Amino acid sequence: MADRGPFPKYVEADEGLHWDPTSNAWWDWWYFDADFDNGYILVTTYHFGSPHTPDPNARFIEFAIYDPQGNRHFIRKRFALEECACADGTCDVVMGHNTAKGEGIKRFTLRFDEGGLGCDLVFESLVEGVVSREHSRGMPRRPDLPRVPGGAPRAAARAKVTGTITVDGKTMQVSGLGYHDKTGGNAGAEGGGTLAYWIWGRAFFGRYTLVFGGRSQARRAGLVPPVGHLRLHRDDKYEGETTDVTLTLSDYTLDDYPVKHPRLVTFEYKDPGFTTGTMSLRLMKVIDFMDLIARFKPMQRWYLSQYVRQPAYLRYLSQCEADLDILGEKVKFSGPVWYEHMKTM
Amino acid sequence: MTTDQIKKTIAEQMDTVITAAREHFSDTLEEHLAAKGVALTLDDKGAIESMFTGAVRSLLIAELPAFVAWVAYNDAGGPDSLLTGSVPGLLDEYEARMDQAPKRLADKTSGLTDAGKNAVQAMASAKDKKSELVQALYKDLAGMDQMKHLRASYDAVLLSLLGE
Repeated sequence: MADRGPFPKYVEADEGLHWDPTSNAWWDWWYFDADFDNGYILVTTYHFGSPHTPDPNARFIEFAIYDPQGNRHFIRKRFALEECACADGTCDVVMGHNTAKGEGIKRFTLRFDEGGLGCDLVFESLVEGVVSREHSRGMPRRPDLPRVPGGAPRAAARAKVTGTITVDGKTMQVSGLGYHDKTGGNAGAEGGGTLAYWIWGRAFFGRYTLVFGGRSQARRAGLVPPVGHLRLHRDDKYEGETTDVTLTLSDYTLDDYPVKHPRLVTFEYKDPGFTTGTMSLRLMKVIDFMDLIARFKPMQRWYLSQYVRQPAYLRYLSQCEADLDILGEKVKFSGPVWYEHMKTM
Repeated sequence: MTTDQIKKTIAEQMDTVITAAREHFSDTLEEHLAAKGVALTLDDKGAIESMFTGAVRSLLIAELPAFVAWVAYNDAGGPDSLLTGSVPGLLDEYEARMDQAPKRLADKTSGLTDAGKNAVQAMASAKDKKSELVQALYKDLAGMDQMKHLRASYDAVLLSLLGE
């Protein structure tokens, strides 16, 4: 049954740095994405600490723009500690000359300029901010519990995004819809070895904003079926969330990439009165792939791939077919949706 | 007994222990299924036992000795021959008792000889010399014209532990 709240009020401090001095695996990130009317997609994350190989001193930005053909333009840039600064009580992140800054909790500016790629964008939230569970916000943390991503405070599950992006040195005016959250944890994004994978995405179906996903526990932690989740806004109001969702990954392939990945992901929503029906995501193109053990030395890579895991991060452009009943309203959607797949095994 | 005789005897005992584990596994699985009303045929049971042995040989029999040897080596402060002679020699003896390497084991070790050759080549021209132990393990991998799957797995696990 859906959790309809009440939920903790989203506050500006949710955007601040929430490092955990008791953990050597803490990390925080500020995530922004946007689908632009001209067919370009932008996804970027400003990292303090690393969610993969634990390193509290890592400071880096991953910045990707996908052109309308699905080609990836990508930079991962590391910064020295002294080049970086961050506020505790608001979104104010500086990494070199790149910045992410909030004005309250409804408006954010994002500036990036490295190697011919860049953006100068304003994100204006169209929906209320969400902290879905008290433990998911940064302060105070419970250092006794590993925190895995998924319950991130979300300032802007849907935002109007305007400004410019730069690709291969060419700057263009853009406008579109986007998303922003602030996530963190004191265990790796792999869930400390307890997760096999997670899926995450967001979609805008008319007046409805869906943040969808799911995760599967590692077999070594017990044989249980994957768990899906859905978080839902109607217009600007947060309506709640449910885990009455069956998640199925199928039709696996090794095409083009060294790890198996699904051609079809299906969510079956089974929460009458909240959301019922099916949403399927049929793979059109892998638009991003990161081999998360590439940094290891050859024999360590061999060991990890044979016995432990073959972690990889994939981002898919998919054809979405949704036939849903949301809050008593029939909602159908057919069109492109992109989403993430963190494969930790 | 000579050391060769000891290795041969211990390899036999390894087989004895694995056989006991295999039979225990297939018997308990048969009981579990019988309680659910599923009867195994002799063919089924044979296939299950074969899968068990395949799993042990593919993923356990070289790895566990590598871990134990690594702890003993560090506790005792060497010698390198503990890692490069005694234990892999035992694995060779055990592998000689296998009719054929399971597919999973063969797949797992398929790139290791080339990885060893590449490393040996790189070490020859490198300014910073690797330790004698690392060199010996890579050379062992590189020299396997006739593949010794268990020894190769063992070498690779140790090299991984050595930060390679």
